[in-house]
Parts: sequence; structure tokens; C-alpha cells
Amino acid sequence: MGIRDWPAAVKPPLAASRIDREAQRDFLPRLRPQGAAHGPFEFPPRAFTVAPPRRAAEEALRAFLFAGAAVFAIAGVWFIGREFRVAFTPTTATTGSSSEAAAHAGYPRSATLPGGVQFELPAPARRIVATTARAVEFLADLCEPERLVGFPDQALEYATLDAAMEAALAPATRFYAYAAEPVLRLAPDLVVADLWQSADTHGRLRASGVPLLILPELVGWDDVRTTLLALGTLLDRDAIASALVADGEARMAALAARGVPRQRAMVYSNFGAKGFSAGAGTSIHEIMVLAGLANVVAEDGGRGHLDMTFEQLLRIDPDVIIVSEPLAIPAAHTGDRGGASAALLLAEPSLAGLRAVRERRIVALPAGLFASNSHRMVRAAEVLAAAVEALPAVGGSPVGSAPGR
Amino acid sequence: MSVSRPLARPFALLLGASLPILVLISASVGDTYEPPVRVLRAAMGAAGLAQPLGEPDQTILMLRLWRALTAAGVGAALAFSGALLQGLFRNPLAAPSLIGVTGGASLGATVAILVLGGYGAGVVAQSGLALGALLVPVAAFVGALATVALVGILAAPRGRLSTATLLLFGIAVNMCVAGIFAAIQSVVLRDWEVSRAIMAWTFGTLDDRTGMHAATIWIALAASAAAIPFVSLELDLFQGGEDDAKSLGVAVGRTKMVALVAATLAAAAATAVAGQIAFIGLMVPHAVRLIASPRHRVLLPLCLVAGAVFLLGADAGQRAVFGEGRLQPGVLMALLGGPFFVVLLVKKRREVGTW
Repeated sequence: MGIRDWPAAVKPPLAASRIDREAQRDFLPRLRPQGAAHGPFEFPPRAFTVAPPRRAAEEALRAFLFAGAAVFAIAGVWFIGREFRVAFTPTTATTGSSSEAAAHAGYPRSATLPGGVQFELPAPARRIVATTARAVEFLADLCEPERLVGFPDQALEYATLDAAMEAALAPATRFYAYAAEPVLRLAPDLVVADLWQSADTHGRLRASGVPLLILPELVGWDDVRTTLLALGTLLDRDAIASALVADGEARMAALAARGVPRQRAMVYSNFGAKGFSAGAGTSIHEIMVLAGLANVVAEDGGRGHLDMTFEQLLRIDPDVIIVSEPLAIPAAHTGDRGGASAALLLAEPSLAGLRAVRERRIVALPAGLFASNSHRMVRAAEVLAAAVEALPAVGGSPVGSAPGR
Repeated sequence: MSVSRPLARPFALLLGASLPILVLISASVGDTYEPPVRVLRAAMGAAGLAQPLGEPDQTILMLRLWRALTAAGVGAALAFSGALLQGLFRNPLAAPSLIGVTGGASLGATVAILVLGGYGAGVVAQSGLALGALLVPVAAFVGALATVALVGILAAPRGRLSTATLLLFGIAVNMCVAGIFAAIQSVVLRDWEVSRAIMAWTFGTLDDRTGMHAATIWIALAASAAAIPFVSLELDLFQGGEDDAKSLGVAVGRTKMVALVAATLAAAAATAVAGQIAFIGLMVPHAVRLIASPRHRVLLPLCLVAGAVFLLGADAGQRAVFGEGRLQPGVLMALLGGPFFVVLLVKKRREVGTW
């Protein structure tokens, strides 16, 4: 019978023994013989007693620790209170003194955004920070480039700007991500952000007195038009806003007047993990509709970005499949402009029977156009429509690619 | 050592009989219901034994069959791996993620998704595209094996493998891998398509599994299961302590190595083909121990079948209930496994308190 077979009650308390030994080791230095008239190697035959503790030093240390803890507690309560005040500060923003604002004719100025959201700008905006791609697109076309003083990297990566506009915006400051510190460092008098961005950062900016315009979700062209006109009013660029609206509507009318057959199309994305598509309520759906395509996923009742299995793909069997060019692959990348999604569609044996795969009717849109949900979605629709029209009816090149931004 | 419980034999028979039925049921349910007879006909058509169904039904039913076979293989592999590791560590809370399988696979898959997303030099991106969707499971498999190999090398510098050291190095390497994984996620957060793909992989998926996935998991499972005769009795003797097992003539080092390699191979293949699916390796061995037997020569084979039945049944059930808005298997298992883990800890609180 081994030790492990003993009942638990009679097992030696190993852990307890170890703790005892450690306690003894710590306690030993406090044991010393009474009396001081002994050399280091003399061991008097007297009993050991516990030495009196160093009371004064211990008391001082205790008082110091108590005082420190009290200071920390008071500072903590003050800090938490301040954070609460910041978090619950009313969202109406003001900048500058009232006399300064009054000096600007026509300000404060208000406008109505989609969904009936009212926004009031207290003074003319001369230092604007755009924090998303669509904000950059709206503002780049509406105002002078020098009024745009900064953007996060992601906003520029997804924005569909032409080379001249990119050059004009080059002096603006780029920062990594939407956060209060890099934005405030630019001393903006208007920040244009999106609803999906960090609510904490929104709160910080509002609490700092920066006018923050949060663009609501834009569902279609009507919302885009309302936003453009509102921004035009706020930025004192009404004429340009009206011109952009008129231009967009004329181009949409031209797209609608082409009289091409309405093809059954769908979006597909798969980077090896799983497949996704897009239904109604997404910007790419609006682009497809503008391009004269039928989004079969939306017509099937799909909303938002949703999973798309091979089985669903085979059942839908669209005429055209639209993929997004990967953001990280430069437009000059040779050959596979559709990236992983297009490569997978063409290589997967289970999908070989799809009409779009068989007839190579796969269109790749640049990532910026694919995700565009500003007035530039008309440009995306034109590019998509041209790419679909250029597709061969049967056979043809590996992947039809859109001509870029 | 406890003997087999009276329910062991009926339990084994029930599991064995339910497995093929569940495969058929799983292939029948989906966005549309297909009678099991049509599933059988599609399978026979694919094997050349009957006229195939018309397209796309033939392809769709074969995709469902591959999904069912992959689910069964993944469930079996994870349960088997969990049972082996619990025996090896003599700890009922051990799971494949402890030795770095899950973390390594996640890192490998993430790197592959980055390559497919266009990150890296042009030649890397081109090679990745040439491999296509295969790249993700291959990279996950390599990542899992490499991570466990690193843990093993660090834990046994002179060939002596201590389970306690293995556990601690497993935790340490897992932390390192998790740090790299988080860093990558943070860097590519602004590329929403790549971020979405990485996140989707971490939920685990049985969607779009093909013959390649099913073949991978079943081949790895067969190779792992071949270890059963070499470790089952030895792991039983391990439960009294390594020294006792050694005194009884068990080749301790070899047993540990064989069990570790078999557990790693099974879990790595499962994670590679289906992403992260936690808790099966924890739940199923416990259930089998309670119902059938704690003896490894009964436990290990039964875990294979029970794991297959469990994941297959759970996947078919949730697809039948939730339809298109289905839960991913990793999420489903986490929902079931979390409460199970709590109950397990509460029941074993006294034992855990002495660790």
C-alpha cells in the first residue's frame, strides 16, 4: 500500500508543513538572546525571547501608507466624478466666445441632416477634421482643400479621391485612428464623424467644446442629397452643394437611360475563413441598383452584410458576381485584381457550375468604390456598370476588373 | 481503478447506431429540407453507383454531406484529444488549448488570411492566391503543430518531459501567441474585410466544407487513433502517479510523447478544418467517464464516437432550429461549454481547492 492510497485524513499535510517552515524562517531573525554582552560566536545558555517590535518605525510607515491611501481615494473620487461630468455633458457644442461668433455674419447656422437631425455650427469652420472616408469625400468636393486639416489613415485609404485631390490634401495631417488626442491637437473648429465610430471619442470632443457633426446612416441617394445640401449650408458652400447634387442626379439619369437588361448580381467576399454577401441597406446595394443591376440577395429578403455559404451561392446562381479588390493590394497588382475572393470562386470545384464562374462574369471593384456611401457612389455605379457591360457573354478573361478610382 | 459501468455497452451501441443516422439527418437539414433518401442517392451518385441528381442539387447535397462528415471528424478529434490530455495531465480540466494548439492554429490562420488579403510581398500574395482557400487550413495546421513543438522543446530540453513543465510552458507560449495575434488584429483593424475574416475564423465554422476538409480530418483522426493501443493501459496506470506507473514497468517518457503527439495531431487537424471550437474536448470525455467508464481503453474509443455524435447533433439541431441565422459551432459550444465548466468546477470545488 503506497502513500497515495492512504485516506486523505492521515496524509501528511505537506503544504501546511512548507508554510510552517517558511514562517519559521521569516520569524528566526526576530529571535535573539536577551542581553548584549556576548561576542558573535558566544551562545549564552539563556532562553530565547521575542524581541520587542520597532514600534516607532512601524507606526510611521503605517501612517504614511494610510495617508497615501486616503489621497488616492480622494483623487479617485474626484477623477470618477469628473469623468461622469464629461460623459453626461450636453451634446450642444460651442466654440469661441459669443462676441467672436457674432462677428461672423450668418452664424450660428443650422441645417437638417437625414432623419431630421438638427445641427448648429456656431462659427464658420476653417479647420475641419474629417474622420471617415465618406466625410473626406463630401468635404473634399465641397470646400477648399486648405480647410481640411486632418484625417485618420483609414479615411484616406477608403476615400475615392483622384490624384489631383490627393495632392491638394497632402499638407493635411494624417493620424492613425479616430481618437480625441490627435483630433484636438489639430485645434479643429469642426469635426465630421460617423455614427459607428467611438462614442467615447465623440463624448470627449463634445466635452472639449469642439463642434462635432455626426453623419447619420445614409440609406440611399435621397439621404446623400440631404447631407450634401446640409453640409453646403453649414460650410457656406450652398452653390457647390447644389451643383454636386445636380451633377449626381444627371449622371444617375444617364445610367438609368442606358436601357441595358437588368442582370441578376450579387456581392461575394471570402478570404478563406467564410463567405459573405450584402443585402439591402448596404452602400454596395445602392451602387448596384444605381448601376442597373438586381441585387438578388436583397430581392431574396437579405439585409445588411450576411453570411453566404456555397449552398446558398449555388441556389442563387447569379449572372454577375461582384468582389472587392483587397485594400492592401495596389491597383497595379498583376492579374488577379479580384484578390482572394475571385481566386476562390474560380478555383473551388463545388462552384464550377455557377453561371458567373463558368462564363467568367466576375467583376472586381476597388475597395474604396466598393464601400463608397457618399455622393461618389454615383461614380462607383458608373464604374460598375461599365465593367459589367464589358464582360464577355461567354468565356473571356479570368476576371473583369473595374478601371480604378 | 473503477470498473466499467453497466451502461457502458448500451451507451456504446446507441452512439454507434446514431452516428450514421445523424450524418443523414445533418445532410437533410439546411436552408431547404431534403429527404435522407435523396442524400443517399447523391452520395451514391458521387461514388458512381447511381445516376447523380441534377445540378445544383447534386453539388449542394454533397456539400452538406462533406459538412456532416467534417463535423463528425472534428467532434471526434476534439473529444479524443481532450481525453488523451486529461489522462496525460491527470487533470479533468485539461483541454487541447492548454498546450498551444488553438493559439498556434489561430496565428497560422490569421497569417494566411493576411496573405489572402494582400498583405506581404507580391510573390507571397501570388503564392497564397494560388493555394486559395486551402491556405487557411494548411497554415492553421502548421501553426498548431509548430506551437506545440515549441512548447515541447521548451518543456523538455533534455528529452525528459514533465507534465507540470509542459503545462506551464503551454500557458506561457499561449500568452506569447495571443499577444502576436492581438497585435496583428490591431494593425489590420482598419481593413474591415480582413478583420471580418479573422473574426469569423475565431468563431469556428462548418460552412462550405469540402472533400478536402473531410479527408484531412479523418486521415489525421485515423493516425491519432492508432495510438490507442499504445497508451490506453499506460494512461490508466498514470492516474496513480508517474512514479508508481514507472515502478510497474510503464515507459513513462514514451507514453507521454505518444499521447501528446496523438492529441496534438487530432486537435490541430480539427482546428485547421473548422476553426476554434472549444469545450468539446472538456465536455465529452467527462460525459463518457460518467456514463461508460474512466478506463482509457473504453474512454478513448467511446470519446471518438461520442464527440462525433455530439458536434454533429448540435450542428444539425441548431441548423434545423435557427435556419439561415445560424450560430457558428464555436459560439454554440461556448454557450453550452461555459455553464458546463461552471457546474464541473462547483462539483469538484473541494478537489480543486487542494491543487
